[in-house]
Amino acid sequence: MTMRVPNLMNNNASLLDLQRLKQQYAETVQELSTGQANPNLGDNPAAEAQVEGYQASINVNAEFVAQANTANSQLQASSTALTSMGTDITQLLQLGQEGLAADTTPTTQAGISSQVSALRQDLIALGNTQVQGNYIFAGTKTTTVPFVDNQATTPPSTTYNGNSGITSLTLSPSVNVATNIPGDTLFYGGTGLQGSSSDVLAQAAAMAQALTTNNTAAIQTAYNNLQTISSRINVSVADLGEREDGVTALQDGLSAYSQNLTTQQSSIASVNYANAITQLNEEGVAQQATLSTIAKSGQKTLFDYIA
Amino acid sequence: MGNLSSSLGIGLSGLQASQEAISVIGHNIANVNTPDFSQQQAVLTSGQALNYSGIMFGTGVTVSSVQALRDQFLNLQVTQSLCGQSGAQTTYQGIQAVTPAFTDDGTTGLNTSISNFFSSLSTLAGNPTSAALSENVVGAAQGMLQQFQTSYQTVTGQITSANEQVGSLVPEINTLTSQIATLNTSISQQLDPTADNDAIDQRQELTDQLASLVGIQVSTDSNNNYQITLDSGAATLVSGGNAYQMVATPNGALGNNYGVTVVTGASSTNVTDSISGGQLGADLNLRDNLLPAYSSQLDTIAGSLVNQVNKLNMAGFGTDANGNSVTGTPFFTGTGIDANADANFGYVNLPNNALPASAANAPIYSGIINSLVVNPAIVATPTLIASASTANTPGDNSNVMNLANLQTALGTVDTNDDGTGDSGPFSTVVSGLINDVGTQSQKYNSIATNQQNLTTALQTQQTSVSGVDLDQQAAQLLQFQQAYQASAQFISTISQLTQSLLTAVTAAAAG
Repeated sequence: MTMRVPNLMNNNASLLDLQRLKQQYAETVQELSTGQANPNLGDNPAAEAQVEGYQASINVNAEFVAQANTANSQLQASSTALTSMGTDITQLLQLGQEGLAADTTPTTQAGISSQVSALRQDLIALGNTQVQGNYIFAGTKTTTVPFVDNQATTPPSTTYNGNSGITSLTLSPSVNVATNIPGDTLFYGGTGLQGSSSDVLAQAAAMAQALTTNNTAAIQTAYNNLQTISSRINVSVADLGEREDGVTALQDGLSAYSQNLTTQQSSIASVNYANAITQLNEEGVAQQATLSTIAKSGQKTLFDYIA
Repeated sequence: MGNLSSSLGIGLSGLQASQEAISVIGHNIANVNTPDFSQQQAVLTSGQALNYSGIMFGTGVTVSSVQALRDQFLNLQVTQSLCGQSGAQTTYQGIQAVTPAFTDDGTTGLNTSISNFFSSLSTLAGNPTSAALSENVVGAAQGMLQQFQTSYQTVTGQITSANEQVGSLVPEINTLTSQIATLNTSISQQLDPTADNDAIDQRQELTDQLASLVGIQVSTDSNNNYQITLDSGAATLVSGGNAYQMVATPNGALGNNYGVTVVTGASSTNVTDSISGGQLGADLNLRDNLLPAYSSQLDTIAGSLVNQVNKLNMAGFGTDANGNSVTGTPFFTGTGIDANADANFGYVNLPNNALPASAANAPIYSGIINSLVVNPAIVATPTLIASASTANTPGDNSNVMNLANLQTALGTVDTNDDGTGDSGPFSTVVSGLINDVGTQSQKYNSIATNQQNLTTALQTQQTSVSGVDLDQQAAQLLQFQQAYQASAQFISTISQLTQSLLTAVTAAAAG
């Protein structure tokens, strides 16, 4: 059977084809100009959902990386203070040894006592270390000066105005890292141990007092206590170091994971330029062929041949 | 027996028939591009034979009718297909119009703004006493609300647009149904109700236009009247020469959106829920179902997020401008939120310590986004953000960490309206919404494309049956031109014969 092919028929079909080709061409141009494989929401919803999922993971991971950076900087600040503290205690021990030496004169001991007092002041200053306006050894009362020196007592004593609060940061869904050491724990050896044998400031004051009175037994006691305290501080330094190492390792892992997520996301979200350009060329050729066909078809009818 | 005189009549009938056929050809050529025009052809019938002494002599030719090449079944298929095509296209365009509100390019978008908010809280956790970081949280919260509100307003704007379309389509539909009814009268009043080809074509064209506007069913009665009802059968739009008017009036039950009724005499039928095809059906579906589902989900997500954040912020401790520790401060405020109503939740009217239900079950949620603001007290004093879990511990970041951890917490949104949080993290819920919008956009684009293909295929068939073929018309023109010339020559010959006869008779009389 022969199908009738009236004049309108070819035109309508060809115009629809041309319309489709122009639409495809425009979509490919949009992909190339935006660099996105699916620039419109309805292009590929499944891929879009994947991209959104990756983006959410990237964002959360970026927060963990930022938290790790913050944790590291806070741990480093504490670590620096603790290192200085360790140095001070080492000097205190050296001064204690000098004070205990048999040939020490009262004048020399007075001088040593002054140095011990100065180191104590230095320790108090370290206890009041501020980072970005916050006292890092005040527990969670970071806007309060944690250590206040009281020279009116004999020997001088300190008051701790901070608390034992621990601050921590979340570095991954399962990892929380404590970013501070409360001042009472660090300087007193624990809550309520102010003035005890584990209180570094009290022991420094006691040593200075003993040196002034040439009380060898008291110097020895303070010396022994400071040795114990020194060991405790070393443990804290090591603890901080381990935390820093852990955070650094986690940072590396998080960064690698971020990179991986970004790569995965890009493989779905980004346009494949080689494919898209090839497709654009093909669509351009098809468009030209369709235009040419439309222009040529139906140019002549029988009327053109009727004289 | 035929004589010269009757032969002249035969020649004349040939001339007339050819002339009329050529006129039909001219009409066809003139309408070569007229939509829904069906090619016509003159039906020639030989004249009734006369009996002369038992011998039957023909009497020439007449044009007994002018027929149109038409396939009524195909025409109705095209009508139905146009209805589906325009409905799918309108729905696709309506959804496509709101997709920018849900597009997230990683720098702007709903998920990005939510992520920025929680990221700012996370950063604050690193230094909870920082006024600058607190202000950053306020800015991020405001940005997030703005994003929610922009998305919401895009959707509600499109709902308004769909409603306005409903109002403007109804008069168009009424104009078409009136014209169809008038043509029904004109067609059925002919002696042969199938004779008025041009009126029938015109009615088909108007019916196709009507089908693009609203879903209809078309049937033909014995007088060739079109009977047109809504595709649901809920109301008749055209019956013979009567057109029943559609009326669009604001309806309180629809939030003052247009309700649609069909007036039949003294009674009227509410057909708002019974229209499912064409542009009108698509606009009603967009307005009442598809788009409100998006705005409702936005309300639910924003409401749940606000609720969760308020709950934690009200339980924690911030610091006021005088350095005093303050608790019970809602982070967000807005209509329907009462900080004093419930110590655990920032909303009034919520069930006991249950997560808020979504818009469907808790009208309090509907449109809540538009009224949401960051608590002005927090805007004025950002340190009121409750970073701490205990009083007078400004360095305590445990509460702000809890706030930041909401980002990845599960069960923060009630997705199935049962009053219990059952979702994944916020980002998953937002992605789900974005995926819904994208999937529906893709779905209706696909349906519209398929319907367009179907319509084009049917129209191609229709054109093949009814369209004007200029080659065919040229051939027929030649054919009838030759017939006309032959008839003219025949008449000329008869004339010469008659002249010869008269000359012979005159000579005989003179001799």
